[in-house]
Amino acid sequence: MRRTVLALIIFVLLSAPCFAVSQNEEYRLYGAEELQEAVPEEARKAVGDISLKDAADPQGLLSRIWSALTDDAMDALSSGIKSAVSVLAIVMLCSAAATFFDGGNIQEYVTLAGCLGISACTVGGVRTLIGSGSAALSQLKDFSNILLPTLCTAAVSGGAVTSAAAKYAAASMFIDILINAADDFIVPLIYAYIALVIVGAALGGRAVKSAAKLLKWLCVTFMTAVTAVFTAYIGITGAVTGSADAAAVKAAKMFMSASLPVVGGMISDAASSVVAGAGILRGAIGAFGMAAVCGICAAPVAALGVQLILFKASAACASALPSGRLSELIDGIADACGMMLGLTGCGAVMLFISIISSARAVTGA
Amino acid sequence: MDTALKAAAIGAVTACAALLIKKYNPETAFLLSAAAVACICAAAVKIIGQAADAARQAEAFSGLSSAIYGPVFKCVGIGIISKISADLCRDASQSGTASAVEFTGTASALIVMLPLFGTVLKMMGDML
Repeated sequence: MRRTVLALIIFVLLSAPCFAVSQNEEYRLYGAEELQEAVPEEARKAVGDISLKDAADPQGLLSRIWSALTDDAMDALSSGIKSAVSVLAIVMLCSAAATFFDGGNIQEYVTLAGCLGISACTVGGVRTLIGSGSAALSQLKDFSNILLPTLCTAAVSGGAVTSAAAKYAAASMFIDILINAADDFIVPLIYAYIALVIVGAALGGRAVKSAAKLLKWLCVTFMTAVTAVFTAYIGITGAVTGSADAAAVKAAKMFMSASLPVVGGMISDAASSVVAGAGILRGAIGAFGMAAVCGICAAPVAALGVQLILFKASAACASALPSGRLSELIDGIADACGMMLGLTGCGAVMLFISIISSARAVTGA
Repeated sequence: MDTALKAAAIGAVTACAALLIKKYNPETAFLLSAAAVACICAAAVKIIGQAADAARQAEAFSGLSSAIYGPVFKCVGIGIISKISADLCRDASQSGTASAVEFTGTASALIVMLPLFGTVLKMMGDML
């Protein structure tokens, strides 16, 4: 009798409380509420009020993103067509005059007037578009400051202790580098490029055109280099640390199964269930993050893309007319839109790669 | 089409007549040429009016202010008037006068462009 009572007392003393948490509680534990609140207003306008629960319906998310992109593209198209029409009207007028003058000083002045007219028509709008792209990059940075730690926490819970931390550190560092460089270096270079393109078209001269080409090369090379180095770094880090994490998780499960007789296997299975649950949450956070990133970038990417296409089409039309410098100017302004589109795209792609890389961390669970 | 045909016919007939008269009476040939230019320009006014209507429609559609289109139109107009006047002076073997007309046209075009130049410079200054 004494032994039975003693055994019962020991059983009660050694038993630890164990309970399951609801999905909502699990979201709260991982900081999902803060993540949902961190979605910028622009993204909410674009894709609506999204939550982590929406991540379970990827088709619905994709259709929201697609409709946001098409709506923004249609809005940008109407203003872009107006701008393209005004540019083409000036080009046609100057081209008609150019055929009449057949060289001479007056033709130079008419071309100069055309360049100034096209610049006055387009520069204001392009500046607004560049500003919206730059604002989207800042929003991406702010959102990534909440998203990446949340994703890292979920990945660590899933067993990716080393790889999640390494990927988080790399993603934060590279996104910081890109966005700081965008503010301090690339956007001013794009503005300088526009100024040089205008001066080159208005006054002619190979030196100015060469300087503009150099600025364009610098911007494109920097963006390509940062994205390529980031992708390579994330890839190598994922390959190396992911294997280490998988081995560690496997070793822990084997140790538990082997060292604790009878209950070891049960504990190991329970741990696997927890890891699987964390994996589901990680996937949901990843899908939510990607939808939010799409929402942030939808409006500037659609506007810049539509403007780029319209300016390129206008430049192609202008190149068929005898006004070479005017078509070069329009082409240069289109290139500036393209550079900003590339910069915004780089930021979004880097965040996408970080999300995908963290969300599909191999843990051997 | 009709206006272009009429202008071409007037131009060809005047050129032939001026060529025949020029040997005996160059002053009359010049006056004939100047009269033909005036007639053709008068006929062109209707077409220019139609082109201006189209330009006004483009301006209204694009929503741009006439402060941007205006200088470009004026510059083209100044150029056309200067070119025709200078060529008439050259027909009369007055190259000095032709150069003066061209210079005045160029200077006028530059003056007309100055507000646009200022606008673009301000935009570039704000940008940089």
